[in-house]
Amino acid sequence: MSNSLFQELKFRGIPASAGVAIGNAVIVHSRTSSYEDMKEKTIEPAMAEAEVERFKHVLDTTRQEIIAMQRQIRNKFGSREIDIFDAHLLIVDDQMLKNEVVERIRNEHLNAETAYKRTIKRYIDALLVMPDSYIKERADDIKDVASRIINHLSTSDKPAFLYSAEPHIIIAMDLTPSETAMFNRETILGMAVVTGSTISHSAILARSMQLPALVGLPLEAYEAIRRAGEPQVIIDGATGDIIINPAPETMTRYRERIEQNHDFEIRLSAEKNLPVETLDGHRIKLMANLGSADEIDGITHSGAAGVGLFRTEYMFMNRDTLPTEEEQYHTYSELTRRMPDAPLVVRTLDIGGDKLASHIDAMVEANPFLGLRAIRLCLKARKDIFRTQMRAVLRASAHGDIRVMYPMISCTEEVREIQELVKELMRELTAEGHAFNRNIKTGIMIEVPAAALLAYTLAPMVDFFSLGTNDLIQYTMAIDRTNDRVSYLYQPTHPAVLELIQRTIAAGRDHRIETAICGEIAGNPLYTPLLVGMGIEELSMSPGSIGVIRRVIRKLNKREAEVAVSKALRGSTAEDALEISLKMLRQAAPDIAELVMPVH
Amino acid sequence: MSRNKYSQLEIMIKNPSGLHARPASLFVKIASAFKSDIVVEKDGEEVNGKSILALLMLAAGIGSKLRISAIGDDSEEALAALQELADNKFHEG
Repeated sequence: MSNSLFQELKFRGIPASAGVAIGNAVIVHSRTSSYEDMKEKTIEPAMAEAEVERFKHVLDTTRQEIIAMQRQIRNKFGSREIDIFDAHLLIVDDQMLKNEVVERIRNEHLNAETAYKRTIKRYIDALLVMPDSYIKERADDIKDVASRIINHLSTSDKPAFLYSAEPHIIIAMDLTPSETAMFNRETILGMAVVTGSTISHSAILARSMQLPALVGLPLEAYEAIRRAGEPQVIIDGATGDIIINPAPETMTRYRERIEQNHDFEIRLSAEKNLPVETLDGHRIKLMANLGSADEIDGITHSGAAGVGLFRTEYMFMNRDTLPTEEEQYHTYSELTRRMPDAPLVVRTLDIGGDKLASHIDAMVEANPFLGLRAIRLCLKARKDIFRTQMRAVLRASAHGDIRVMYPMISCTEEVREIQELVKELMRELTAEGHAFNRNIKTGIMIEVPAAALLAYTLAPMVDFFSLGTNDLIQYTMAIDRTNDRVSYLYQPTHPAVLELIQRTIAAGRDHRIETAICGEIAGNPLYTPLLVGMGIEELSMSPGSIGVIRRVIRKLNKREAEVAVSKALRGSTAEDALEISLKMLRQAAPDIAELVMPVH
Repeated sequence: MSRNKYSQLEIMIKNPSGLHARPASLFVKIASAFKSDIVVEKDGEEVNGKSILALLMLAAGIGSKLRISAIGDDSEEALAALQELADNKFHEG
């Protein structure tokens, strides 16, 4: 039996972010579950003092951990978000609480975690019944700290991933976008998650951090890792393979793969300054998607022509209060200063769906992806947030080539309403003496099928289109992209999807406005031949993909790609179109064709 | 520490979200900087002003009145600092 625990085991999940990682697995639990799931235990009375010491020691560890996290987040997001950790620190050091726990250990002979849980539960329960909903939410802060402390106290649960000093591979049942956003890139080598799809936000973030990742980790694999006590694992983000307890030969093989990947990266980065154009001279702009402001370094090194999508929603997550106009103005200005002359496309708040920030809209909707999200939320429910953000964007536009883009547009009225509001804000800013770019370029995301069908009407109203293909596919196919059971219908090359993309590009061309793609297919070489053939002018992707896509484009012939597209559009299945694209890729760049996997 | 000095003060919570985690933590930080014992009372319930959990338990929403007592040598200075915090709406304008 002990044998099988250390045997090499191989499983396959779904590839989510390319690259190979070798390291120790660390299982992370959702922090909210650990607090309530804990089993209660008593101790021998003679052990009480030792238990009190252990408790105090854990308080020290937790305090240091929160301080470290605070520092990490300050570097990442700026100073205001870290205030909440001050509150967490005070909860850790709360004298009243500490005394009560120590008393319970001594008098009731409870182990430290049980004593702590019982004590803190009283406070949490009291907060939960309070009438004021804002105060009620504070129970979450206490729960957060409680789970952290109890996690440290119980030997069965390893400390969570935010602060582990040793390099490791994250194994989890599930990760929320905010948990992924707090990863420490210094020590996380990769991740494998049981739930989620390749276009879940955790997977997208992993790609933007260039972390090898797989989703759809089989439950047997999860169990095997748990039973083996978090053994060494290898994950291959390009194939979705995970190897538990790798044998020495396997290790050697994968170490070679890491080296090859590294060499490949070096060759690609040598091409960084070559023009991105097809063999027959058609130029395409490659831009980078930006999740949080601190990713800007990776972008300037990638050879991107600018930022094609700055996802501002992450500025609004993992915090208690809304970012102010000044704070946003500062972030946008700083970013544009870091890339003088290069465009920075700021997408206004796209929240709702699977990206929730509880303080913005606490409503629970039956179908959040079809609900009041993105521009709808901004125009109908939280115009205050939208005004603040737009004022900040406009003011920052005085310092560089800032452009603004609105998500989830589905009709012309929305565009008009935004334009009226922007005019009003411009008058306001002028009256207040603020500088801004009066001719700021304005674009809309085409991600609702209605907008794609209306592209010829929308094009004259704006300066550019950006196809958000992740959502366009989900809405065209009528599937929830976070629901694994229908992920087989997530088909980027479905003829209906291709037709909507082509129609949008054609409408843009007719009205002389640029059309970009900022969805995941932009950074996957498998789709590059079709997108080039459809005449796309700009692709925006995670910075890690730029090198590969540049190489593919430089080996493609646009004329040939156009022929392939007309064939693909005549085909009746997604499979046919994918096959056509893959065939072209194999001919043009066989080395890259070997590495690719379709988006699931 | 001299127990003779005793000062008292009433404040009204003016920030919209009440005495939630962030303002409460500011309160505790300031209160803890003084040697005096700080007691906060709301509707007859008295709690330790240096304990964030205790303050949160008061569930002091906007418009709540709090009576703050300080006992000790630096009680006046402590109350002046807390008064200033409350006047500034806990920096949450």
